[in-house]
Amino acid sequence: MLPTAPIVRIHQEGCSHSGDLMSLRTQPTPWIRVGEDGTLKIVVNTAIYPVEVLFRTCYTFTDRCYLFLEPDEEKNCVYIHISGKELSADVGAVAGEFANELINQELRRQIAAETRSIRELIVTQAFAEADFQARSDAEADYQEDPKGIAP
Amino acid sequence: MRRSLSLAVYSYEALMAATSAYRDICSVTVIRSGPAAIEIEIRALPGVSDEKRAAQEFLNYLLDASLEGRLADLQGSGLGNRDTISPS
Repeated sequence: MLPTAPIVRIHQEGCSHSGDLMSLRTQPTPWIRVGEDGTLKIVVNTAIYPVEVLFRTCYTFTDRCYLFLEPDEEKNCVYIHISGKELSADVGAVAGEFANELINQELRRQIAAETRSIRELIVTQAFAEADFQARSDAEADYQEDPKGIAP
Repeated sequence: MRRSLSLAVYSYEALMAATSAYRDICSVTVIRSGPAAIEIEIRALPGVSDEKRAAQEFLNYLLDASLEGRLADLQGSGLGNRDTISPS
């Protein structure tokens, strides 16, 4: 079942902040906060998104922006600090893409889990049909033309 | 710039790799080391104009290397077609 609740937000239960976030100004997207220095901070609840999903998502973004991960294992969440590589970068848009990519990666993970058995079956069947021992044709001299390819 | 790195995300191997890759750009000192986290200080070497950017680039490289290591351990990990970042 796919998660339908808001997936990344600052004020999640068990992941509530105090202190530094209070100084961050609110952006139009309520679960994203952008600091005065342009650094963006969001929280990902790892009870909803496994760390594997989070890692894959972060990996797709490290060539576009600066990321720093700060896990809080007691609260089952990871604070993601994001800042643009360019001064003109729209970190708010990047954060939105980041959240969407989280959904994308979680969906991929779920589909991979659901289809794992059939994929393994297909690979097993493919290897079962292949005869790796019969290499006489593959290793034959091309001048002998065992397959009769030459006209 | 000082940062506390969680070992749940960042790895020693990646830290060594990043420190080596950025040896001409910045110096990295381990301030404190514990079972769950290590605290490091990143200082740009003389001649590097933007210290903050150098530190951010180092941390991004470190994260990238750490994630590659973590994801490589996962079954069927495909990291996509994104190019690996390199020191700039």
